[in-house]
Amino acid sequence: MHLLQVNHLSKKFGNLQALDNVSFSIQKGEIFGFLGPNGAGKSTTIRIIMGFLHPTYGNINVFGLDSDADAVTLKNKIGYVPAEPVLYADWTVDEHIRFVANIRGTQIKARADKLRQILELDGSKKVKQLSTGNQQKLAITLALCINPPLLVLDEPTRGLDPLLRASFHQLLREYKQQGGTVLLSSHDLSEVEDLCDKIVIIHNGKLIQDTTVTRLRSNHGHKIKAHFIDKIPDFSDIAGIEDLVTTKHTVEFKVKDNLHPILQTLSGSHVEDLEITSASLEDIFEEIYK
Amino acid sequence: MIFCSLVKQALRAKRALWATYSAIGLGFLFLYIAVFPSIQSQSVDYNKIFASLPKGLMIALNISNETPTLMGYLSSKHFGLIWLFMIALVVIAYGGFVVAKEVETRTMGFLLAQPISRIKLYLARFSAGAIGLAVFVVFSEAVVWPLARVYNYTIDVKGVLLVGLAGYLFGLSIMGLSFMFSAMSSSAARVSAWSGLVMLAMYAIYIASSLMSDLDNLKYLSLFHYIAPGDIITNDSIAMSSIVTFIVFSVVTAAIGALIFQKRQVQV
Repeated sequence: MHLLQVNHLSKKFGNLQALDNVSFSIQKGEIFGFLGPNGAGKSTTIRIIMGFLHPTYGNINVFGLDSDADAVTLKNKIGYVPAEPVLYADWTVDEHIRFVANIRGTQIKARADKLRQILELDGSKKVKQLSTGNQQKLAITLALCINPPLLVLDEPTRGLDPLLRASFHQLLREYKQQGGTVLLSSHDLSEVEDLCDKIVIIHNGKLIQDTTVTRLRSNHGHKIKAHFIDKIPDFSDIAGIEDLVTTKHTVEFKVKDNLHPILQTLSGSHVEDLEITSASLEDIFEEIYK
Repeated sequence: MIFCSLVKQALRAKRALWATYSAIGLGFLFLYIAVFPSIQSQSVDYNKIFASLPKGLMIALNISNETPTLMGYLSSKHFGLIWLFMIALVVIAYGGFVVAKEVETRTMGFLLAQPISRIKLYLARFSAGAIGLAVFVVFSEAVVWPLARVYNYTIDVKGVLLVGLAGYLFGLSIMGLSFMFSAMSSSAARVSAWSGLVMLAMYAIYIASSLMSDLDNLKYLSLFHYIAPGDIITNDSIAMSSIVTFIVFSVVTAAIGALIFQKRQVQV
């Protein structure tokens, strides 16, 4: 069942085509990675999901409702963390929680207090006294405390230290186990690799990949580095090899196809050391965006 | 419940604004009441000066050359000009906060992420503004009644209430205007500039139409034409046309603002 469906979404700001015919869907219970460089259109898509912006063409269905026409109803079901949480500087953490509780129901208060403790957030502090990381924690608390069926997170771990990032990832995994669905926009590729079931990659407003992390990696092959005791065998005739670099005793290259002919060649030589790694998302990104 | 929370939030966010202007308004009243005995004793001399001024200017500045009562004196010296500009300033400052300032500081994102319709948010803010304006009118005008009693001046309560009502309706109409500008802008400073320019233009039209008989009909374009505290005290009533004008102006401008806010793109 598609919980969120983006259909042929386009958005223009004057002459700037921020989104161009973007379509993808998210299943219930998925953590869905939304990747792309700055200015790719990630935040614009998220702002349309949240009803802040109206699409120029196309639509987004969430829980079968239109994100533009049914924005208020949908926000009862969506927890949102913006890329740069901007909260009221003169309000305390508890005042933010109380305001959200007044709107969404007082039952969220207990959950908010629990989250505040997990994230080590002082309720009596005013937002202007909080560091960027702590403001991010408050935004995360406010999004999760309502226990929504869908979380929309726009670079939620920006500004968090590694320990808190790990705590947050754990919260997301627990949330997923309880049946929650997450749209996670991120620049942090290791975060995406760790958490996401599926990913889409967007560039210049256009969708360029809609896949899983595993499939994306397998499509982008392996990096091989071998160190030989004596003579280096000839790899240049093997199909699918790219970026071949040879020194006196070492050879390095990328291969997208089957590893079998390479292993066969290696087995006939005196290999001292061998390193085979899957392409990281960083490598894949570099390749996609170059 | 949600509406009340939003009203409370808007009142809390701008409590310093309302409190400051109310305190200044109250301070002005103390000042005028303190100097009133000397004004009363010199009224004959003042009237000679006023008699030399053009009649149109006297009307424009809400000055009468009768022997002053406290309320008549306040109406000509304070409620007819300074108080009206204070009302305009406070509601324009408030209007800037309603949408524009929240978009400018990006806190609008926090509000719009909640299950609140934009119209409800807008109306809650208008209601909060109406309450804040009422507080300002009480402390800057209506409080003249208990103050007069403290200083043993006789005062007509009905006159106090009518001037307060007229000032309140005048304030609501400017609030509608500033809400409209706020709904279409992402800068509170721009809202103040636009609203201020419109108010200044209206005042210039009002003065020009009072001084030049050829331009007399232009006075209907100015909100200042519909509020004359001196006339309210003299006639002991507010013209129905003034009440209708203020209400219609307020509702129309605020409604246009609501529609713009409902449709606008919010880049937060």
